Amino acid sequence: MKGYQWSSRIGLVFAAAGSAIGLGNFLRFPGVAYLNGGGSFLVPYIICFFLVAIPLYWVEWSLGKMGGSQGKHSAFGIFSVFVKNRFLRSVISALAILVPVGVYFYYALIQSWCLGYFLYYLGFIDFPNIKDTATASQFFDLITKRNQSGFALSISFYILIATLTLNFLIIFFGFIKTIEKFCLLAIPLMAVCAFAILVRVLTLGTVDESMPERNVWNALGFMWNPRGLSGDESWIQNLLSPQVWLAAFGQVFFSVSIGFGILIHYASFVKKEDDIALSSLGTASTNGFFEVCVGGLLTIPVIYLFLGENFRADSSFSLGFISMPLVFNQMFMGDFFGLVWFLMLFLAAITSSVSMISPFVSFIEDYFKLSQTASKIVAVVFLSIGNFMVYIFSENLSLLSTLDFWVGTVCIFLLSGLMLLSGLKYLGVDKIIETLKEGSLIDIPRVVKPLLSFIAPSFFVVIFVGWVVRVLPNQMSGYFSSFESALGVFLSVFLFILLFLLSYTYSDER
Amino acid sequence: MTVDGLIFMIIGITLFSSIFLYSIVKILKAERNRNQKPGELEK
Repeated sequence: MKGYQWSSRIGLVFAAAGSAIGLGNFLRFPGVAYLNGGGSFLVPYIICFFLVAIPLYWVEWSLGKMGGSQGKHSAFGIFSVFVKNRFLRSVISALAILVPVGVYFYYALIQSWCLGYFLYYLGFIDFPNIKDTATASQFFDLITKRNQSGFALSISFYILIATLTLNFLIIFFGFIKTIEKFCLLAIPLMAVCAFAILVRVLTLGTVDESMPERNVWNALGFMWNPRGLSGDESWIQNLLSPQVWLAAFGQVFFSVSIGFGILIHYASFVKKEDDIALSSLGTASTNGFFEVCVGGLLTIPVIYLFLGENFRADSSFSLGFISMPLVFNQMFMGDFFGLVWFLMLFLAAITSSVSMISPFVSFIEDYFKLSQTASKIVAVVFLSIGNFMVYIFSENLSLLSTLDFWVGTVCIFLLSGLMLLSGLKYLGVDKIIETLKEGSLIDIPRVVKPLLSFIAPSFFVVIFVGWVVRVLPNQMSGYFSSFESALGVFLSVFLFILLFLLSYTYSDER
Repeated sequence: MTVDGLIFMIIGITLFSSIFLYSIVKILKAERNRNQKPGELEK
């Protein structure tokens, strides 16, 4: 791992953006924005983006760069550089490995679903035409195996094997350099796919002459017209609703990959004299661009055009894997655009997946003092066990959802907060700004200091408390209702304790 | 689409595409300058 560096700044931005851009940009954002006031959702979204996401991004990148300058690239090593309290250091380090590992366990499966749909539109999967909700659900059942747990040598299994092989091949041959080269190809290709579909959608006009009101203009209005949460409310009242702020914060937060343990790892490969301020801004804005300018113009409007208001906006899986195939069934050259859509989702997913493997390999290499090849093999075996557990215990996708909640939501919140607070406590805001200024390609405005010192932490704490009080209790109900859910909780806790103990031992070795 | 909806859509697209293009262009320019051989600027 030592001696690796990014070949170019744009390579770093594309690799980091590849990590951040995922299905959430094309499926989650449109659904959340639509349900929380349409266009008016942008007000809290933009405020959260600039007041919380960018400052947290800058802290995370600065910590990574500082660790890298001391020759540390794994989370254990990076946090050992500046977090003096052993208990706190062990908690943060454990979370920074748990998050990418735990999320990869299920994210690789979602990636394999995209590949499955892509192969279907390519004609490689023998299944009747997806012509109505029933057939769309049947195909989703086939690909996800969500009807029952258990192992079967089915099409979904072979697709998963192909997906994992592809991910590991990218990691095996060159690691960071290969991820960079891959993202330099994948991100522009994803953009081409996105714009091809966008142009197609925006030039559709009216798809059904008997329903002239269903035209592109009204479809964009369906997504973007600001509206109150209930029928008689004004959209301005939304700005006083905690639900809308929590939704905006959650969307910005999870979309840009703060607290995933990935960007801190990527930033550790940045040379001391190189920029991180503009690179991190470039990464966040690339993510925001795909989210607002592509996802916002595409998903909900096209579904409205073809299906009217008969869809579920609260489920990303339903939007992407049930509603969109029905849209392509009715669209002229629908098979081609279905192919392009799922290629785009697959590229978004694979660039995120490979970025999750990288911090884990780095950790194994650092902790167990193994060669890089041996570390990759250990990582492959361990991650595959997790992937197959999620694949086997697939009933109602309960294990996947549980991991997504505990690891992909709770742990990310905790890691981000702890990183911000420990960065401010042990390094201080001046040291963070000094690191940001090293080789910076943009001027760091004076407002960054109060932003990092007071505004971002206060905003974060308020939103976090609101989330704990209002969202957490609802989410936690029913987590022991099935074996799969209980397994998800057990797996999350077990991995955290294991990593915590390893981190504590790592402290002893220093 | 209402005027309000249009305004929100334009604000969102303009803001995020502007920051995106600004960042990428600035990074590409810096990259080009770094790769330029010494003395090449004077030619």
